Amino acid sequence: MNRILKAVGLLLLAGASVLGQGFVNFETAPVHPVALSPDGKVLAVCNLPDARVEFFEVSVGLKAVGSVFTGVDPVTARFAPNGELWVVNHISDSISVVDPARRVVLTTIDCFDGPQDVVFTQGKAFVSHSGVNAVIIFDAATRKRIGGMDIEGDRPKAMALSADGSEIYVAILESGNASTIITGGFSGLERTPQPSVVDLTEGPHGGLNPPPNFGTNFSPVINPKIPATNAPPRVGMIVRKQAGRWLDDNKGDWTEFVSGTNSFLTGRVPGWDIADHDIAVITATNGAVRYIRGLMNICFDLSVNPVSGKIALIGTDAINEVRFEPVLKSIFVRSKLAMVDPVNSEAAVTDLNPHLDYTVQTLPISVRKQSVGDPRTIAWNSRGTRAYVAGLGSNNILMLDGDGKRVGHAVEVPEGPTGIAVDDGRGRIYVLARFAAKLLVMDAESLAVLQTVALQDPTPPAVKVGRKHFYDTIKNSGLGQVACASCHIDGRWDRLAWDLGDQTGDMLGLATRNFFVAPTVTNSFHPMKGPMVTQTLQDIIGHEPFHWRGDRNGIEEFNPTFQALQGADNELTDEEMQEFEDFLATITFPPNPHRNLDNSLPTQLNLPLEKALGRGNQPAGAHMPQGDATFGLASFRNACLPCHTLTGGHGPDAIFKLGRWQFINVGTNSEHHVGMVAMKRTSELPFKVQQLRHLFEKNGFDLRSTKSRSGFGFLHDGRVDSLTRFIQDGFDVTDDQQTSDIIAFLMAFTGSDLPGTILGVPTQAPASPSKDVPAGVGFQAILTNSASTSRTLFMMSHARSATSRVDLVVHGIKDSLPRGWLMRGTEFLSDSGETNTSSQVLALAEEANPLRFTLVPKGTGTRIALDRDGDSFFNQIEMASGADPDDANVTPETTTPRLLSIEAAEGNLKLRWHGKMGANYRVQARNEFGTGDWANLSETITISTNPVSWSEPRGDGASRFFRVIHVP
Amino acid sequence: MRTLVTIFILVASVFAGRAQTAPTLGFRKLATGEIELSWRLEMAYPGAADMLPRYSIETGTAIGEWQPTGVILPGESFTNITATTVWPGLSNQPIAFLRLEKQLNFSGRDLIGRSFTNAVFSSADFSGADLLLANLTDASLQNAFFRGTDLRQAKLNGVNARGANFILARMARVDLTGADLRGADLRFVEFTDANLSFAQLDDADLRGAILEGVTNFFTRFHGCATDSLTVMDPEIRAIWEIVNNKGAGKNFNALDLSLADLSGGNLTNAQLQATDLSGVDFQMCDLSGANLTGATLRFLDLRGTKITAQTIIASKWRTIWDIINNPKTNRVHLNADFTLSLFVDTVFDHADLRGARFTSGSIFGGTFHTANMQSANLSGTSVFDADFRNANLSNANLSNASFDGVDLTGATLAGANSLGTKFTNTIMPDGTPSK
Repeated sequence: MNRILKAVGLLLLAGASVLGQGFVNFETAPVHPVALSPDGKVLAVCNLPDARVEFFEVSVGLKAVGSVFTGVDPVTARFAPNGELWVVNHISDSISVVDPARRVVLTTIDCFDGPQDVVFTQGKAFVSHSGVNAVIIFDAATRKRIGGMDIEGDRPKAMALSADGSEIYVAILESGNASTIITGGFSGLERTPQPSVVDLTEGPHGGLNPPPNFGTNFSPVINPKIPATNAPPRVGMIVRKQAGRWLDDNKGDWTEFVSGTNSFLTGRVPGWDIADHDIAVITATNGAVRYIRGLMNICFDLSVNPVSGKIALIGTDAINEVRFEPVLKSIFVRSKLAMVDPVNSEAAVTDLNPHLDYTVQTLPISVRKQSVGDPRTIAWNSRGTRAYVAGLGSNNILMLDGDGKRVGHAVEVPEGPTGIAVDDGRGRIYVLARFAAKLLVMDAESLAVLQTVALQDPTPPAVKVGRKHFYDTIKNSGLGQVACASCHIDGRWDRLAWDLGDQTGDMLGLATRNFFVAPTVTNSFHPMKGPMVTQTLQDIIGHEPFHWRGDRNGIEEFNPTFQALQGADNELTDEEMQEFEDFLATITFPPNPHRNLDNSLPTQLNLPLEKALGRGNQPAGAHMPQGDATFGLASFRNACLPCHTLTGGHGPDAIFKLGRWQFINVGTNSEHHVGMVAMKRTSELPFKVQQLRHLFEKNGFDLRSTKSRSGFGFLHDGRVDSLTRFIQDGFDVTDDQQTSDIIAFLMAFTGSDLPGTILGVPTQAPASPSKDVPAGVGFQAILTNSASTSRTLFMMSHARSATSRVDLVVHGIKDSLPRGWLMRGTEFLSDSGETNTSSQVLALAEEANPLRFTLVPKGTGTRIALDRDGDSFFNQIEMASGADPDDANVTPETTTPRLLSIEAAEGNLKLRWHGKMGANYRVQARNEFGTGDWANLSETITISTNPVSWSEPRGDGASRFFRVIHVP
Repeated sequence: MRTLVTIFILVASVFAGRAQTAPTLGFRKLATGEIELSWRLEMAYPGAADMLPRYSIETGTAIGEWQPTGVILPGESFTNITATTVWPGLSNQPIAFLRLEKQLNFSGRDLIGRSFTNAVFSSADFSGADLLLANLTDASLQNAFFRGTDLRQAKLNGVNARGANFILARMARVDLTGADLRGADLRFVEFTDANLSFAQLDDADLRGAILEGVTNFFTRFHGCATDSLTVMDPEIRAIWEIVNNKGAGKNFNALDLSLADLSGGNLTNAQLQATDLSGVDFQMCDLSGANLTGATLRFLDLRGTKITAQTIIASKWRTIWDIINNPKTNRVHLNADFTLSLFVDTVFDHADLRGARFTSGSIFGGTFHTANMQSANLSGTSVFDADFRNANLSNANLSNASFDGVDLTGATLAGANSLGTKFTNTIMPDGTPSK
């Protein structure tokens, strides 16, 4: 034992992970993380940050019975009809099929990119995939993939079954709200912005640009202190389809220019339209797909009322067609419920906050607390009389009646409620408070919290502390329903553009900006800036300035937004702002789905959403050819550097002087100075050179379609509908193959491991590091015998390479105990501190107890495989010593005794407890619970094995109270 | 009672376009009472099998009162070269008119790089089409529609696009050399780096258009509408102001206005110091009081130009202006400096031009009848269609000069330096044509 402990100590000295360090935050959102077994005996809960599913017996209260590692970021747990538990691992792109009785993963099913949810019907498992916008069908028995269907929408996510199981309903997360941008299109960076239809006198506002937002006036009025010579920039307009007409926020009717005979003037085809699909309805028997549309723009979850059969969809709806921050203050997003009759697709969309009329911009906190913000989960009881809604941002639970009307008050719960399971038999609901890492048992009618169970949570303090500033809608808004996360969904985006200019504001100076190409006309930012696409917040800290225009020096300059846009009572304090920044700094780009597993660039990448413009050898409208990203990289280095640097794509945080690139010192708030440009026509609208790491998520806007999936695409206002157009129209590239190659590279951009730069070469601007992980992260393999497979050999080779950024962890069963190993060099370090050869580990694989291999981010393997609670004591060592591998506060060094049992049998009273090896303990007793002196019952007991036992003959039957104390 | 039906068949091309060939229509009445119409299909452009007109059927009870029937027959829907359609009988009307309208509608089409030289696309609709790199040289595009069309890098030189609608068209790097764009709607057109040389934009609407980097040799901007949104290079803005009566008193110093068409412009009291005015067309331009000190003046077309005593201009050019605008005989310009100048239809009859220097100039038309040009220097001068009969060019320097269409009958060339001189279509002093 001492030898092992010594080994552990050495390991720690060598720099193994400790709490908070071995964690990578993708800010993945759970989908359906809580599931009650069909027999009502077992509750399964996805512990997303811990990469495990936890099991609880629910017969009385919640009793933890164990957990099992499944994969990276498990988001959904569903029981199959045969009793298996299927756990969807979002980052691992896999499903773990778990035997819930043994808590053993039986097999792992490979998925495509971004699996989110699974439902079972007719012997099949339907799995939604947000990465590839598809639902894939598996045979529930053989677990083989047997089909699938594309979903015409972005990020299909939560799923539900019809009451009779004949249909599958899929919520499309980023469904849009039938809003789009109208501009002059795109014909080159140096020719941007283009003249726009907004300027046309034939337009509804006679060519005024920007058009007034209130009759013929601006409301509020433009700051009179702004000189007339500083006119607001001419910009595009956001319009939204309402009752068949494309209208702006001033009732201007742009239909003629969006879908009518003059649609060419906005680059569109006549009849142009947006799909606006919110729910995909799949017929289980034949896979036919139809859509229900026009409900809301972010569709978080849906659940079917088992009696009425109606689909209850919850989410949020943005009013992004309304312009200007003062107008949008507090009201820009509403929480919505749609009750949809799947028979005729008729829907009644209501506000989940009927107490809000949005005419005021602030309410007392007591009223605000009744609001639901960021509604993530809805679950019906079996009678269809109650539905429960979790407000992730408002930290509360709502109850609805069978018609979807609110019942009673919202009940406050710990932070981040996300998953709900209804236990009709016991009149309870189980709620996962994801951010607080707690599982709640609540009364199904009163919503009283009956029990709270803390989950093991490796989430570092920076995330746990700072999240509230990002998500909390009660604290951060005037009406209780909005927060930063309302548009930056899960730290990402909402696929919309907003015009959040503030005409009452002042001109902002351009000082301290690192202009790659300096503006020539104006030297300041106008407070009216026009539509801007919501940006992802993944890895933004350290890449200042912010916003498309670079008009915010650092995150601190967003503090006024909490009040000015969200309507919060106060700005953040300096300390809170630091917490907020620290949280944002953790958000990491997930594995790039387009890279090869070894993180190399793809050479044959399909580009299904890229259509030829007819510039090259492909006819217009034809699919672009496969792209070779390695050639694309070469073109990028020739043409796109030094404006866009590798590896993030930002402008250089450096200037070239004295013959070499020199990094710029950070500012007073540690802000950086990413390069900016002001092209010939953008002097009034200078731009930060943008990062390029989530371009592949921006596909879907199609100006040549009558069923565009999105209303916004690339560039600051979303005017460019494809990368093909951006490259060919922007840079006069006419070679389709070259275009595809560049696109392939752009699709594969995130993931780092790109060529370095040369400080002495002007065209080779240096890069800032990118917070991302290699493509292999999450990748899994399973072995049922001792023979290696090509997959496990690859994983071992990949993890062992000198430049590897992944750890290889192995989970399996040894001596009937769940065990973990971390690959170190050519060998495996076990969670008991032993070192095993690969053969020794592989020999443990068997059909009933497979070995599971998983690539995880470098530095997280120790926590995931060896030391779950990050207390520096390996799991098996802790268990052997009676410490708790799931509790960093209970280690083998903990002297506090942990009482295991008190038994009265065979005339003796027997106590068992765990304590520190070698430490001294004594048993004491007294007659009254709260009073009286403790009497020593035992001599000093020095622990040589755990657990330790002590017994004495039973006395006269009078009550006595015992305790075990540590004797220093 | 049987109704006698009289049917007039009229045929018109789209929107009463002028240049399109109207379809020749045949018709016959069927036993069913229906009318069978037939006509020969033709491509909108020779060899462009994918570009067939479409046909709209309209009816009326009187000529000129046409009502669309809503029936549009795409040319592509017919498999034979002759199109046939059957129209319901009109027997319940005492008189009816029927017409077939040929429409050229290629809106939204992918026509990248296609060649349509000399095409007749009058009144055609190319809105939203992609004509990137297309060749429409010398095409007739009158009243055609190019709304939002991509015409970048297309060749439109010599096109007749009068009255055409180009709103928001993308025309960066388009070649519009010699194009007739009079009256065209060019609002918000992107002309960046386009070639508009010799193009006529008279009365075109350029509001919101972008004219940056445009090549504009002798481009006519007369009567063009612009507004505050129109983006123009300083030189183009100057030209536009000058020819649209907004140049008076303005400062155009140091601009490059070479080869500009400033005809009819108003430069009263304008500042043109150090301005490059090479080759400028100043016809009918008012230069009263203008200050041309230090300006680069070469090949000015000063016909009809108004120059007053207050105009500050080199004496050489004042003299030339006087010669051009005050035709008279027997002028005396001994040893005068007429280098790098332009004379059009100028009268030098009986003039004494001994020793005058026309070096590297241009002479178009005009008469030098019996002029005394002994020892004059016409080295490198281009002379077209001028009358030099009986002129005395003895000892003149004609080296590298060119005479094209010139009448030299009776002229004296004794001792003249004719090294490298070219005579083309010229009547030589002995009355014989040049070789």
